[in-house]
Amino acid sequence: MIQLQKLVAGFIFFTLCILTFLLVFESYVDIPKWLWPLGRMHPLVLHFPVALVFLLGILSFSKSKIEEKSYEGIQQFLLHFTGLTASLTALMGFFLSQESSGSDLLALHKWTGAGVAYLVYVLILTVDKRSIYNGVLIITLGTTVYAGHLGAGLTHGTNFLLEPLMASEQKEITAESPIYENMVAPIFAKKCAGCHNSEKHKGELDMSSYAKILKGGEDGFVWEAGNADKSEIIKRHFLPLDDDHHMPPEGKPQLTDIELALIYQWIENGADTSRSIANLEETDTLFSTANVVMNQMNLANHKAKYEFDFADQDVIKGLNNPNRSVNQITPASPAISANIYVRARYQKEFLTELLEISEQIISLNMVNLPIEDDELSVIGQFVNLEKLILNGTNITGKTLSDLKACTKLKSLALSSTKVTASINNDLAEFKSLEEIFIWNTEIDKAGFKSLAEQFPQLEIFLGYSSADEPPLKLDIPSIGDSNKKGRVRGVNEEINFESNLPGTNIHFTIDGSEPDSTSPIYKEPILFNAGMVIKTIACKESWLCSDVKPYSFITQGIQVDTAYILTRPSESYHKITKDFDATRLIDQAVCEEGNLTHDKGFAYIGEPLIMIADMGAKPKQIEQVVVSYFINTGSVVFPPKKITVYGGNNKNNLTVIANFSPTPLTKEVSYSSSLATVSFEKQNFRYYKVKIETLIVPKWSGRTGEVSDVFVDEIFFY
Amino acid sequence: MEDEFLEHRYNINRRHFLGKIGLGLGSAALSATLLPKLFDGIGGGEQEALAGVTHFAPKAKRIIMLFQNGAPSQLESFDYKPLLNKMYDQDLPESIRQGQRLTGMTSGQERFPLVGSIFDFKQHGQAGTWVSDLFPNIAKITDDICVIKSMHTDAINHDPALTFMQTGSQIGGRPGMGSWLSYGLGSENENLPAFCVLLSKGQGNGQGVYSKLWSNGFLDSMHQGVKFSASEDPVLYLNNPDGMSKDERRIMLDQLSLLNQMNYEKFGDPEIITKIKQYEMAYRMQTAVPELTDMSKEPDHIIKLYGSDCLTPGTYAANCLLARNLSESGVRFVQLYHQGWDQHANLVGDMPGQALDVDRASAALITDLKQRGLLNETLVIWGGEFGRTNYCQGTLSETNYGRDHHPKAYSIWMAGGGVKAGMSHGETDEFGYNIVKDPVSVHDLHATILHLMGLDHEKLTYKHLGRRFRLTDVEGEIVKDILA
Repeated sequence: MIQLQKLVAGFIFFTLCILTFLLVFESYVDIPKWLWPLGRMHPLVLHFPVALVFLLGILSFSKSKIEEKSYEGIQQFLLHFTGLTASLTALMGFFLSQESSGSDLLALHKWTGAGVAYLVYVLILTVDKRSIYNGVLIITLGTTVYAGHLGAGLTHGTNFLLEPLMASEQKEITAESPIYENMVAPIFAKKCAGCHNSEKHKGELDMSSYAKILKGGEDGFVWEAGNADKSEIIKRHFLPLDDDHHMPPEGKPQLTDIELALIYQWIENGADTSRSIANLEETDTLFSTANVVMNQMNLANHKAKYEFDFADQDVIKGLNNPNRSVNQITPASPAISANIYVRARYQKEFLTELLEISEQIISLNMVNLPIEDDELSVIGQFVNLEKLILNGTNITGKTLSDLKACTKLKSLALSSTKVTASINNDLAEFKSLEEIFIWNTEIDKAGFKSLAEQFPQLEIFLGYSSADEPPLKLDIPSIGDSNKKGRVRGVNEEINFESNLPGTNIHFTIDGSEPDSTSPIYKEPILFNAGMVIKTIACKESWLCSDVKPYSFITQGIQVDTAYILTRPSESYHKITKDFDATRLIDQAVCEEGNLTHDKGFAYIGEPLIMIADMGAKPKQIEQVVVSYFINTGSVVFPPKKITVYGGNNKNNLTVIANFSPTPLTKEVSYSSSLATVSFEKQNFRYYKVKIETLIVPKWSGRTGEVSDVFVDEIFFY
Repeated sequence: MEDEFLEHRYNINRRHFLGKIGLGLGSAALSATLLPKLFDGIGGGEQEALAGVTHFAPKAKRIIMLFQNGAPSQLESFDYKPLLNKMYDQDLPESIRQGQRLTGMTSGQERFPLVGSIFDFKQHGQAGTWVSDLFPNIAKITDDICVIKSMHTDAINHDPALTFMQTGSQIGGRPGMGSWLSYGLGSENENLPAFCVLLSKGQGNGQGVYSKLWSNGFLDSMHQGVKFSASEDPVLYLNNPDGMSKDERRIMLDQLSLLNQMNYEKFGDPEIITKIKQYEMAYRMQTAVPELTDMSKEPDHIIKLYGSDCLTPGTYAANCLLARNLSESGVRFVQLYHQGWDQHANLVGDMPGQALDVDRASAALITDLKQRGLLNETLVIWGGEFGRTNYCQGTLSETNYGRDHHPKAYSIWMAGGGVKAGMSHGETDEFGYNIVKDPVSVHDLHATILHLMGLDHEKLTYKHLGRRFRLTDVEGEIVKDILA
């Protein structure tokens, strides 16, 4: 026996050492998964030390009634057993505590719990010294009770013990409950009493009780019974938000519409504290408002408490597949939300298999799936369903009554389905329903109206309607195939136009006049002519016509064999590699009109752009050089100052053949593409040099003295 | 005899002592096995995040981030500062600037003339939120959004600020926010990537976005963001090549998977497993993606809601519509970037165009989510990487001005999942320069976003190179005031 006791005492010491060690180095601790079940046995084992500590107390109390020898034997046995269970419980509790986030309550429970384990060990050590032993025993008893209470707080909630006594606060509000006490006063408590209470009575007003409210404040009474409009509390709500007298003050939570309505109507009704829904006429506005508030408050009190059990984790796991995700809303809640995806792969089993967890599903999302009417009978078995999304499914609403067992349904989404106004008859079944989504369905305006009348509490989402808004402007037509072709075209090449919105007409002119909805409609590709400008506009019924978009096309130039740039482009637009490539200036591709694309050209700031074009061994005749550039004066991108063309057959000795200076701008120009043409007598040179100089920003732009940017995206030769 | 007894007792005590010491040491050694981090500095045991397990009840299930890349001016959008109009062309008082560092672009300026918004502001909605006339449609939904006017960041240039906002660190290499969420919450719909990225570009002065912003960093590469292409074919190379049937593709993938599996058994590289998974997902995407990117079935009123450019692939509006589809189908994090908000000069010329690009579609997204019953479970965030200065950069004229980067205060807005609607949080001083009430740092924002998604930002960690990394590094306070 003694041997066993020693063994046990050693084991307790050992366990306590581990515990101490873990507590000291808690921040480093990482409990491996295989130890978690041990931690989770804490709630099971903890009952031993609690009961045993009490037994020790009783034993100590009844010492005189037990024979000395037996007493000592029992005491030794009990002590060691208590110590063993207490230290194990504490250690398991420590493991368990590492699983969840550390609240203050948990920390306190951990330390008091560990305290019990240590105290019991102290008892074992001091068993021979009666006076110390009894003192420690009393402390141990107290600590055990306290630690146990804290632990109960963790599992059942801190107000678990006294909850039945305080239940009056959360009791169900009924038609007999006085409206003031149950609905109005809580609003005051929530939104007013923060500043108007017995400690902090701003404006000499205390709203912490009915009697004190009646006394009023420095500006008089809070309300005038029967006359809400003259009541201070109502008047102040309607003052502008930034008015000093507006209540609740700016920045504080304001009264919601329903709260305001309730207070207003209750005052209007006579501000009678005994008034309840039961003694109101049904026609009274207060009757319906109070009913809404009552339902809301009762619902809020019940919210998020589920009475059903957890589903088997293996079942949940098994139900998850790529087409279906099934998850508990949190690990701590048995409630499950399920989503099914991908229309093309939907099979009815995806839904029926969920019956395995029919009790736990509170949210089901089957948006855009081919769900048929007959499948609602499956969904109808999910009795705890709160949110159901059937937007874009094939249902017609005929079988909506199959859902009648889903009495907890709060949110029902049926948009973009074929449901008709006849769903009115079935909706009455869903007592908890708060919102319904029914836009883009067969229900027309009259149907919406009757629905709203029949279910005044229901929030009905009718969706966005463009009817009340001024019509929108269409997007401008775009060039078809624009990615491949762009604005540079060969003669007789086809030009296509397209609009992003199906059913849009594209009208166009090629004579320079402004097109409108009466201009010819684009039906087939237009054949390109040199220098053609096509003005287009998109029009469609119930839309405003787009802006007029002129498309100026550029004729393809003569192919340059190779080209070199002699001056370094600015790096402020993009990084320039050491051997920058001039190809982008002779590739017959330009930026989209009015849209600067960095890699289509080069920018120069201050320094001129100088390019040499090699026309190859058999040069064609050239009589024009055309430079395409971009203008956006706001970001200092201006036209070039001067373009000079040199020519010759020796690369190192070229002579000036012509120059041209674009007309200087006199006002802001934003996001625009432009061309400058340098003409000269026909030449047959092999080499041409083009020098494009930048200018000093003109005075009118307000940026006196700055050097402008020039952005050139192509140099054409004709 | 006596001595022998004494000796015996000593012995007992010594044995007892050594025994106890042994027990104590033994227990220490045993418990040390539970503290791998204490003795093992390198840390072998990699803790796996429990994908799909939230730390507490989430308010939002999905995020759509409408990132306004380049930093839109708060002074022309949501932070109304009439004093700046009154003090037009007067110098920024040093008492306000307080030696704040400036970018190289304006630090050489001789003076810092204040300039107020050229665009008018009005109050909108029940909450009386100030919105400039550039955003008429966002103005209509102010009762659904929460404007934070007191954002501030650590970086003053685009790349670090953008990287900070997206990954929680100014230096690249960390996982993006979407990757963290994919890691922490897993995928809702395994037919699609959990993290999708959509790009668009306005005409204004632009700044680049780089794939490091949606990189998985040190996380498994299955958490990487997938960039959708701005063309009619949003996911490139998703379709089977001509002449290959679906069945053939399936057989090919099965065989490829076997080969990869063999390789994995040989080398044990987890990236090989990721690769197998990605091929599988791509196969499933072949069916799932066309359903989502087909906009032809959208009813006319939805087209009108987003504006007609929502049918032009690659526009912001088209991306908003696509984002709605992706989010509705369970994509955890949809990240939009709209480039072109860097108005150093020509703000008056550039900003209306940028606003026109995003105003209607941003508001439409909120309205559309709401009418689908999705707004309360989807968190939408709109904003840039920093703010803009209250003084003019470059030449100030009656009709035009520019603004430099300003990290000390800027505005963003959030809507939906768990965020209080119809409120403004935080305040800046009358100059719109410093925050005077409720500052919100980027780490705070991240902490709040994770909180709304049901994750504790201090617990969502990943061990890499010997330390545990968090999205919020070692900072971040949840902004409780904006939680619904």
